[in-house]
Amino acid sequence: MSRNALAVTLDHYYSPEASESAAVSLSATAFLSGRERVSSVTLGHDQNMVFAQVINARAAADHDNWDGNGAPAISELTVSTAIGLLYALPGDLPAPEVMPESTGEIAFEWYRDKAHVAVVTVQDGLVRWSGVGGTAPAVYGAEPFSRAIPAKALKAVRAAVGSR
Amino acid sequence: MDPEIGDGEDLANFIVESNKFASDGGVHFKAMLPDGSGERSLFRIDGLSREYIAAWGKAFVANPRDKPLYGWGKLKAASVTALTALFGITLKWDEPQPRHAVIADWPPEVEKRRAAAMELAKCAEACRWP
Repeated sequence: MSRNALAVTLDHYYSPEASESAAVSLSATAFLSGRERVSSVTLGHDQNMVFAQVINARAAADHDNWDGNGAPAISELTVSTAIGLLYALPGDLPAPEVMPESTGEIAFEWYRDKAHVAVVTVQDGLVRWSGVGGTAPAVYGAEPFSRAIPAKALKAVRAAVGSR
Repeated sequence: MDPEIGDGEDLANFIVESNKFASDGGVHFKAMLPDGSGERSLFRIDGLSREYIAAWGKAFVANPRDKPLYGWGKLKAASVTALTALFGITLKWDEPQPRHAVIADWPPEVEKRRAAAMELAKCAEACRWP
């Protein structure tokens, strides 16, 4: 069964209670950003926790000016892409911190120390990444999301967390 | 002050939100990102005592925003100018606000701005206040 498969009921996305119910829900029906139905999957503990953070990020930023400084609302497509990205992450990575950004993105952040940081964000169908991994120059990039985390983004995350 | 900012000068990025310090006490890269004006505000603190720097931060940054001063990230001007070739960012004198400077000319791509901010945070020394 593909790790990219999602286990989400769309109804959960926009409910204030969604985070808790989704966090304990181990399988359900799912859609990717392309609205393509995929198979269900049993989720691991960390993925459930991160899933809840994605839902919370959307709940906190579901309307324009949610930050009081004019930030755009996080779109439904962004949420779908974020969930797709979450389940595309290799299981050996530590759980990221998930947060809404004032740009309208949802960000997945791995922070080890100030010299080892990676951020992967999604906005609608686009994935962006930035990272520093020690003394090497910072890396960054962007590409459309296509069910898998971009190889360069994954490399940036691994450089930040210190795994191969 | 001399409009020319020397590479050896110390600069302070005042921090008025606790989450701009990372969990390990370091300066989080978000503290280095440009604000709504498209620039990152800095103050030239060469030769100033810690107490003086804090007073400056309260007077010109924290108090006008009705926020507490949590501290500042201190970095050398050279840390900024070293990134000009990679990211295009520049360090500019920005008075009449006394001792004010800005990091300007940020790239339009958000991922590139974050990468530049990460490089700046890497060079920044976290100074907590009080």
